Amino acid sequence: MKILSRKNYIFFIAAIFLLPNLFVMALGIESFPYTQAPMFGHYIDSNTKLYLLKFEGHTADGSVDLVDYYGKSELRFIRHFFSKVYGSSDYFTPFSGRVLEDEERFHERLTLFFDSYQKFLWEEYQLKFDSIEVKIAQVDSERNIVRDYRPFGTYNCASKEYKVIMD
Amino acid sequence: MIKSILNQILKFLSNPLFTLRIFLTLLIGKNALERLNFLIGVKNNETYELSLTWINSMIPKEMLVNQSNFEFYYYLIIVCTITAVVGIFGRLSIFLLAFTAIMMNGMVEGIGIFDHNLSLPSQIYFILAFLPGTLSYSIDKWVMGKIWKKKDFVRADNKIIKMSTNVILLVVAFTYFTAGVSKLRYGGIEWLDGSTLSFYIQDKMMDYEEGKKQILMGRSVDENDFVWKGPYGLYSHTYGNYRTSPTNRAFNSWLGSNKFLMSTISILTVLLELAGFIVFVNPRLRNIFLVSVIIMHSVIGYTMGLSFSYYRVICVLLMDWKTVYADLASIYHMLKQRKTKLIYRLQGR
Repeated sequence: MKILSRKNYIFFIAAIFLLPNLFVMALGIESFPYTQAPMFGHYIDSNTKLYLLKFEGHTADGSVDLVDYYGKSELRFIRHFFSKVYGSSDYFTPFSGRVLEDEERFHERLTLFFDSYQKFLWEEYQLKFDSIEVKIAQVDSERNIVRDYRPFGTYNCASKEYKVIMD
Repeated sequence: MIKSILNQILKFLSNPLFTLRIFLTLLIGKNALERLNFLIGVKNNETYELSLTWINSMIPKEMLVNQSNFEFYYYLIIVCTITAVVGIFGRLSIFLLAFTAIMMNGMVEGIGIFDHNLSLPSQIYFILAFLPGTLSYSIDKWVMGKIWKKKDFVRADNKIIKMSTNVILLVVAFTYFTAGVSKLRYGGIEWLDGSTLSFYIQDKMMDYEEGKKQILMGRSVDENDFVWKGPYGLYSHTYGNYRTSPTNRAFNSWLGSNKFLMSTISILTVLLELAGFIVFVNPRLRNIFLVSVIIMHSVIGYTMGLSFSYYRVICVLLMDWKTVYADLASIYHMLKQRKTKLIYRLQGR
């Protein structure tokens, strides 16, 4: 039997290209182009708690709503923050390729994110803050406020530390 | 004359590897140029550690798209698109174009949005660079045929083309299957009640100002959650409905508020996705599955503005066109016979 036949080669190609797909499906993660297609998968009904996030820069003189300073659409900015930085409450998030999660990694990611964002705010808009606050509001499906914005977490720009606010 | 043209078209359509090479090259080339412009134009696009996909984290940072290599990628995409279509250094061209597109869409994911419309097409296109049969009808094949007179060396026979096509079908079936699994995995059996799709169909995301578009879902936190992430238990983001026209909105409102229809559509969607592997049972079931999937994407496209056009093109090209032709021909003959019988009957009266 010929080992180096075209037939065996095709089986080999199939195996090589299917393996990452099997991996992402088994763990429930994704990294382009491999996905377990989680679109519309999470259940929503009238009881589902829906939230909006916003970022606010703080100085001794006051605060600035940063929605106009994300540098990209809110959709991209918030999805990046939620998927790649903050992470889901589930161990394996279907919105990133992470396979390990713990408190230390979580804080490491937040520091990396805010460090990069702080740099961008300065280079692009010459904005500098003492701290950047993430705020959260509960809304209904039509974005009507159910529970007004309240602090969700704060990043201290000097000490480069993110603190979760436990309400 | 018409029959010979039809036969010629059928001959081309019978080799999906060839048609996929032509159509996916053009679509992916176009998308790559759009992505390139987007990546250069968008602010806050630093390629830091958190924005790297698995593949991009293995590529030297200098190779990722930036202002200094913009022109290089621009010409690379154009040249590879042309050479992949005509088949000059075909495999190398497909490989380079696929790799560039995957890298750039990975960067787009890093910036914020994973484009699911491109995930399956990118994989299929990359696989084409390695599968026998992709370069049927190409300059490469013609040249190799001239150099090596032994045609068997360069020719991919029908059996090989069928095997290669099955590899593509396997990736397609797997993608739909995993989509069906994800709905049950995250939504549970409750997902079938239709309320999730009803929410998405009636969502008017485009109406809201910046800052109010992207919703996150949360739940009460218990000891199984990461309590140190805060008390909101955020676990998922929503997807957008991009439709704005009043006609679409009126239809969406009618459909989305009909609980029975929404539940039926949800059940059919999951059943269809889980049934992906029936494409291997026989050509007719393969065609039925692919047509059903095209219909599903068309409905999503009409109601939500998420066209998944690349998926639809792939499904059309993967259909078994010989069976379609045979089925259409038999329907035509059947109708013709009925018409003749009807004429005889009418003349008899």
